[in-house]
Amino acid sequence: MAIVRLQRINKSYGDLQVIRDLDLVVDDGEFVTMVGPSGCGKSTTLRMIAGLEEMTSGQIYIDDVLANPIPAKDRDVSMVFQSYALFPHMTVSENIAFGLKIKKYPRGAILKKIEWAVSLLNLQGLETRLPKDLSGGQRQRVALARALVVEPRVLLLDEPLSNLDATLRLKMRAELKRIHKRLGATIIYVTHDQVEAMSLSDRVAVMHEGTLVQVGPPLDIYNAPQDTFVAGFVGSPSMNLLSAKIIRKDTGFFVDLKAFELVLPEGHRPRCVSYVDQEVVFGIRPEHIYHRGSWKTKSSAGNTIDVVVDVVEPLGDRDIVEVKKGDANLTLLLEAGAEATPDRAMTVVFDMEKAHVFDKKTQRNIIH
Amino acid sequence: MKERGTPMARIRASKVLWFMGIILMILVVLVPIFIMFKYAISDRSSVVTGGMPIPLWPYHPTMEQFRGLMSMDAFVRSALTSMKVALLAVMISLVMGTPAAYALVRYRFPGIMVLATLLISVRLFPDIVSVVPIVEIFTKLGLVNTVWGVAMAHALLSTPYVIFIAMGVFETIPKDLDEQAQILGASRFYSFTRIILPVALPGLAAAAIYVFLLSWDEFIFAYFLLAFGGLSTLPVMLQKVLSWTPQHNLLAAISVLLSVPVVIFTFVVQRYMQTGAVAGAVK
Amino acid sequence: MTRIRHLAKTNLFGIVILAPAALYLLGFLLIILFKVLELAFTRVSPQGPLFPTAHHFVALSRNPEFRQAFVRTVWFTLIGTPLELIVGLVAALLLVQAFKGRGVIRSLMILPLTIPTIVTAIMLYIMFDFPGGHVNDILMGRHAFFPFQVMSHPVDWRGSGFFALMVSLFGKVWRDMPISMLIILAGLQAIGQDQYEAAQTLGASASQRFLRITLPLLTPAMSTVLVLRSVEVWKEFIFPFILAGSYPLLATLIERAYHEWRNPNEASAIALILLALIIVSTILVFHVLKWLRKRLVKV
Repeated sequence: MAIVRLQRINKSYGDLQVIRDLDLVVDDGEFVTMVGPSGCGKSTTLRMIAGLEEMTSGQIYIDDVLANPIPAKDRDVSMVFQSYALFPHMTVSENIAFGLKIKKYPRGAILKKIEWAVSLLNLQGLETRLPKDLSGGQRQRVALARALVVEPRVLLLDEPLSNLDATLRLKMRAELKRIHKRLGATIIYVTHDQVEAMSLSDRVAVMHEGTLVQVGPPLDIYNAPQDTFVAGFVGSPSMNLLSAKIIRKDTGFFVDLKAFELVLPEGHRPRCVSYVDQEVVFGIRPEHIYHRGSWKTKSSAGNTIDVVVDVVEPLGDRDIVEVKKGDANLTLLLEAGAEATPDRAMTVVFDMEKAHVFDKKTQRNIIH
Repeated sequence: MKERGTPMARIRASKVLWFMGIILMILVVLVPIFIMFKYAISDRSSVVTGGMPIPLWPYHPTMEQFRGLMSMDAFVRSALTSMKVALLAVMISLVMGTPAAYALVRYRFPGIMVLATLLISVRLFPDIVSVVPIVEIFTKLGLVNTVWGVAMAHALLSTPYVIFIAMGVFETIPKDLDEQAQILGASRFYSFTRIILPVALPGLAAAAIYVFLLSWDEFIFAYFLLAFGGLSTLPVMLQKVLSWTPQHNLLAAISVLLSVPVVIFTFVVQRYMQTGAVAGAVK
Repeated sequence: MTRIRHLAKTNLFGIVILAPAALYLLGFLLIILFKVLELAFTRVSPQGPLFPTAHHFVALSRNPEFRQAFVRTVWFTLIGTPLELIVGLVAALLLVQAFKGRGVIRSLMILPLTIPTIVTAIMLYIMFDFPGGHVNDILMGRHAFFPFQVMSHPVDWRGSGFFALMVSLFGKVWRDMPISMLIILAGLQAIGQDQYEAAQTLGASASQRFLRITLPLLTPAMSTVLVLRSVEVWKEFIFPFILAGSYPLLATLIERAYHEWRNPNEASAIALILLALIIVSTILVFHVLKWLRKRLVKV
């Protein structure tokens, strides 16, 4: 399929700038997700790739050809809309065949392709139905079939799963991954759900207020978030972010959270040297704070802290536990049945290898 | 750079076409209206030009036609007749139509919706087909050439609309109101007249204005019922003037006086209906 | 029996207040129908009225004036109805995209409906006057802003059936334009924007989008317009009455029969024929459109 290159894309509506200096390259066969909170500009970017919106400045290249002057209908880029946008007066087959009819494919070829799309997306038996007689999940599959059957260079998906209920969403996520694997299609996906982004993509592009904050494989985004926004956005429950100070003692470097201190591991020290005695933001994910009983011994001496349990939310296989220590509030993700009782003390262990330190002014990650 | 190429040119061309279309449409709509006003203030030399092209704007704009009409007996009488007929028509159709609409909305006996549809569909019967029988019947009843006759004919035309609009108004009034009144011991009549009607008044006022305008404008029945008597309504007078002395500026002046109240009121009512006061009714 | 009495008792108030309107409307409707039938099938003869007789229908069928009026009316409706649809469609298409001042222009477009029909007819009478009149002057190039001489002699707009009815049709379509426009505009606005966008990404050009998405989804609105407007054009009276006096349609012929020929019976017969035409045509148009819709979806 194709390579999509976005160069210095800017978009403004009058005085309001919604996309700022966006650069992104999507390689042939890659599954890239643009993820971010509502209003961050991801759908707008997608529409610009499709040709449905114009950019104020910047260039889009599809397969090394400048796509800016090419209208949407000639870009060979398919899009699945959040509302599916199925043609209500056409049957499933007719919807799927639409793009092929426009391209003037011979009847025999069209029928073959419809068959292929129907079997790919499990739509057997629904060919003569009208959209109004289909369930949400079925409509979504028809929208996908319609977009795929024209063999587009790029497949764009605009929050395709948000109108589905939770179980269906999980099912369709698996379907999409399967289709990607089978077709090797170049897919650009937009969602506000970071779980979807992480589970589906080869690379994730995190957007915030019109700019791309970080692009990379899901694990990089998770393990090495470039700033507090990405750190807080990815991962559920979100990362604990607390004001702290780096202090230096004879025994080593510490992260001083006023209520308690944590030892900074050797590996992180070089980067924090310049921040001694300065205010920083300390971050650690709930899943990286363990109940003492379940902590497998690692060299983390000094990171055992006693806290008071505030609220316990049982999820079934795990518990979200809110704890307090002095003025600090922390969220923990523990195994179910961990001895956490509200208003009682508990001993927890911080895995400092997995901790992050962010510059207070720039909000950027110091360690990674 | 970007955006240089045939797609842009094509988009610009379609925009130009669209713009031309809009301008053309506006012109077509406004021209007859302009004609009306222009001729109404035309002096004689701008109308009777003896072979010269009629000027697009009168040589000496004048209000003499209007002044003349104000003192013309026939005109004043016609205007008064139109007014009487219209007011009577409003009265008759509202008195009949409003309670009927209330009954159709509040009472749910089987077939009620069929009845409602039937009553409103009476309007579908072509005017020109019903005119001759109506005139024959009214002749026997002595209603030809009378204000009452024309008003009754107009009521026939307007009551279905009153029912339609009033049904919409009553549908927006919650049933709780009557039920509340009934629990407190009021008779249905009392609750209808003292409680429901006042609440429905704004919407019914819109219906009243609609009927008034319908009657004010109406030509066919008025013409057939008043053709050979001394009475006439304004539309009928217009036609009489046309067939006797087709002076264009006179015709236009009468037209202006006939039309302006209608246009103003129609827009007022339309704006009113848009504010949702009669929300459910007119779709 | 008691069930009905019970129903009547509990609903007495409702029945009582419903009665006047119901009796007035339905009563008159029935009386009108009976009267029209009675008149049409009665022949006034020296021996007194004869009923029932088809005399008038036979006489009309032999009457050249009636036959001409019949043919004219059919043409008038055949051309006028689609014209009303097309004008409404064009107007709606011009107004569907949002633009600055659209609300004002849309209100302006309602104007033709608010002007009393008789006034519009007379204004057209004035505009299409012969030998003077603005239209003739402009078409002969006698005004500076339109220097093209389309014709060298003024047209007598009321002097030929073709022109007289053409002007009448123009008036009718002008006046009714807002209604068709509003119905179609509502239909257009019900089509979601994202369907057009989906079609774009699938390669459809503007004309393809119009033909494959807009028109099919607009067929219910267009059918409504065609059915409603066809009835209206059949029974149009005022425009032909003022503008085409010498070339009557069936509706204006009724007036002539009543006032000139002083024959209420023949007038009623014509009225009945017109009514029958309207009913038959409406049913026909309705079913043809239904059949067409079924065929369109297959394609």
